[in-house]
Amino acid sequence: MESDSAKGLGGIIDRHKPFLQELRHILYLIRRSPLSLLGITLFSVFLLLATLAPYIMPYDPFKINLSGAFQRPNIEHLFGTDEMGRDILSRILWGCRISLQVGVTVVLISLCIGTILGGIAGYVGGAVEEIIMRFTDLVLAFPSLVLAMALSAALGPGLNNAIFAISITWWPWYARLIRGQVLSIREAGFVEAARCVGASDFRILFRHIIPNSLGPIIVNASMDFGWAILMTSSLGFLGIGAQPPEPEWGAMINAGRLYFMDKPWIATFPGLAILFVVLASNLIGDGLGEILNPRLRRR
Amino acid sequence: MNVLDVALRVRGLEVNFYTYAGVVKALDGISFDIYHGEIFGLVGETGCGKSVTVASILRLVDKPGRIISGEILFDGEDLLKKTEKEMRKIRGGEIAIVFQDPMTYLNPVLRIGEQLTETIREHQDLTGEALEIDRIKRQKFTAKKPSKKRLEEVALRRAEKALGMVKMPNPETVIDQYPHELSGGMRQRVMIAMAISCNPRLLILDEATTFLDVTIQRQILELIKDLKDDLGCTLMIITHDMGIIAEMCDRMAVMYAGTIVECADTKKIFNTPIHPYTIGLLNAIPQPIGEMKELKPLPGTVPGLINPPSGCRFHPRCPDAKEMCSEVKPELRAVEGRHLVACHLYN
Amino acid sequence: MERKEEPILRVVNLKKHFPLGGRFFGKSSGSVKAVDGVNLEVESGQTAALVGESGCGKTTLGRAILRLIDITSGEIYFRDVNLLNLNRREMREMRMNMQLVQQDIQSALDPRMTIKASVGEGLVVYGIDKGKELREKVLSLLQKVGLGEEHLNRFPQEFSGGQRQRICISRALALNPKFIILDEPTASLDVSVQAQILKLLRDLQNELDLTYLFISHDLSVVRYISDEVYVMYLGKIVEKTETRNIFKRQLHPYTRTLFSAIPIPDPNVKRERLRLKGEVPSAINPPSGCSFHPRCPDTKEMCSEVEPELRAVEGGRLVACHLYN
Repeated sequence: MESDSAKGLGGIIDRHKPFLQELRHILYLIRRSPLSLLGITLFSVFLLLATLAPYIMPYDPFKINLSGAFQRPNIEHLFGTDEMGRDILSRILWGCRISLQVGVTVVLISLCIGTILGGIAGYVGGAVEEIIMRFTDLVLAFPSLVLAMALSAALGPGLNNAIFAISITWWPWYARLIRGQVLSIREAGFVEAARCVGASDFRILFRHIIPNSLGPIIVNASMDFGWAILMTSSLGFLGIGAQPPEPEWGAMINAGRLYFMDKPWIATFPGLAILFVVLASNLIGDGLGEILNPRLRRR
Repeated sequence: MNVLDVALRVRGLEVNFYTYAGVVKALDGISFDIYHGEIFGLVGETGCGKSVTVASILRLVDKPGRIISGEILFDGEDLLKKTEKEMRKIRGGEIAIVFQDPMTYLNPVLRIGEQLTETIREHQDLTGEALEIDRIKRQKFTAKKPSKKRLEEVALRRAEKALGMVKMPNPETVIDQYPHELSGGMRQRVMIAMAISCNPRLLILDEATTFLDVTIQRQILELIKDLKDDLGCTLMIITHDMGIIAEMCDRMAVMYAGTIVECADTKKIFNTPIHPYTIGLLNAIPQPIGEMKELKPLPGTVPGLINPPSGCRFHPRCPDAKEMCSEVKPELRAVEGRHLVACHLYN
Repeated sequence: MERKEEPILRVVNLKKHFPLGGRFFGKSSGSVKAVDGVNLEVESGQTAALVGESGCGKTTLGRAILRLIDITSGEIYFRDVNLLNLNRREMREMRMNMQLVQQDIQSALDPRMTIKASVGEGLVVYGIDKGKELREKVLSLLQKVGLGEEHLNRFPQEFSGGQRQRICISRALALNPKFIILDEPTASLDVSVQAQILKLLRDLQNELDLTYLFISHDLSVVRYISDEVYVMYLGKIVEKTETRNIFKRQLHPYTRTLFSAIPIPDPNVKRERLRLKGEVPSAINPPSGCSFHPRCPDTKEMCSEVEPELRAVEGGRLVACHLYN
């Protein structure tokens, strides 16, 4: 017999009440942390710019205009023009889309791989765990940038290959973290209770353990977002990864390097863009860390 | 020792916790007295405020909690008016406390000896004894300041003495051990040793035996009784276990949702409980001996303290509630002699 | 409760030893004999209590009976079916009959699942109900333990300890079990809440004809809920008797000390206290002969040499002690 409150808008709000309370609580915590507020604001700005880039960029980022090259920042070209006469502001905006896409993709791919491998390692244990973790150690033994470079070089130039290469170097961190979480959650009461009601190992791992393990991982993932962009830019700077005329920020810095002494704006603006995006992502990561820290939370 | 002297007097203690969800009115102006040399029990269920009371006595109430008003007179001096420096001298020195879980209160990377001597050096003046030893050993009579090594030696000796007082088997060995090498009962003995090492005048036991096995608990309770007689201090026992209260305490107070509802001699409360909550509580306790009565659970649950019930905080669950009970907060008043109750039925 | 013919649960010589030492090199430097030859029987519709202090092995025994951990040797008969002969699929079927209510209320419910999902998980896993029927079933289970519709979509963190334990109990009832192991279900609850839960458990037992194995260290609670008591010390059963008898007179010295150690909630009673020496010995190197002999106030020479067997004495009581041979 369903009561009236279960139906209608009241019912919907009722059903989601715990979620709304969580939200209110999170907003409260965010308000108390000015740094994470700054991070979120900054990041939202970039998100907005990336989304609206095709509509707000003043010029075509790929249009070459050799006669108008090397202009200092002026009214018509707020960030000036580069060696090919392309408007730098437009290129920064377009590069924003590229960088954000890269960040999300890298983090998602490595998170998926790392979670599955780390989860299985932590849950199954024994020989399987040993094999997976030693493999993880192997990949971790290489400095990530060097490994990414090697993989990129092997796969050939191009942004997509760079994304793939970086994801491959990134997943071990998550695998380790998830495995640690799984090891402790494995002993929790509700896991035992799930076994009592006949849940399969698969169900226990993916329905109970992993959702409860993701907490600390989210913090890392949000900070890694910035690192991923940094890595891509590094590869772009080195000439691997994104290739001209792609307005990827790292590649732009690389191009502007030659002219840095007397025409600094070509390299500076992409550099600043990278700086702020990474800063935003780190601030959010710190803020999330505070929010998700159970000790700081009140029921 | 005049038992009628008051060792600790709490009056109108009010403590709030300011959280995002609202203001938690943890203590609603509680008052009680503890007399010199007695064993006083504070009993209540989760959320009644016993831990907050202890924290207030020790001035350990931290943000988001705040002591709003009241006074806590320890041998005549108001602890709430003391500076932090003065409180640090009192904590562990004149007022000592043994907590529930020794594993969290003992530093896992320090040896037992080091942890004991830390307390001892903090609160006791060891220079006299240290200088004495210095003079004997070095045969220098002009030494003004004792060496660090000597101080450590004196502290260690007193630590071993404290361990002996808590009947720790092989104190010399235990001094060098780490907390994880000891059993639960032994760790709790270490905590007690730490507490008594500086001759406190008031010893507080906050659920000190809750985590211990029944037989170990028995040993510890016997030990505490003996220690109290040897040290001549006043004892305050905080627990939810009515059995411990019945056995150990001379007088007791029953707390509910941040208020004291009844306070009297232990025998009086068990034989003739007055407050409806006390009666309900006693009816809900399973009896290990004697005839088996039917357990009568109290209906309802302990209220949240952000919006506590108006008037008497127990009125929603009280079988005898009158209209007045939801409007006016009952005062803790003497019904007969020293039997105090906070209930409108008895005004 | 009427006594039926065969006990619903019969445990024969159960042993669970945890090996110590590195796994890789296969060398084991001894083992923790958590459960060391336990015989246990529970009649249908009754409550048997398993009593002992920490380290006696009662929790391990409970887990072993439910086959949540592997055993070293012995047999477990549930309704005359040897659980150890069942393959994985058959055991999974059998699990519906035997459920568990855990001690640690804090971690017993998945904090990321709603109450409805947690309580109904068994029904989902076995494919018994789904959709609307599932919701109805879960609701009726919650109502049985005194909760309501407004609780369905909430999360465990929003409930008090007592409420969470009720939720766990309703989860245990979901698959219509015949037998429930309750592992210290009221240990961390307030006195008044404990009384509510105990009453609830008794009512449910009468209503649904359940059989309980009640694990506890609290003898007062055991008195109220159980028909028979098994006393456990260092992996072995030392005494077994009907509840009403054990509270009047205890046979085994350990049981006697245990009873004498309980604080009595009555200040008018003055009791003789039996002082127990020493600490609980480790289960890795249990004392020779009778494992209780180093602490026993009545120990004889024989006690350190020969291990006493669990034997029947007067009135259907079982004791493992040389004083009664």
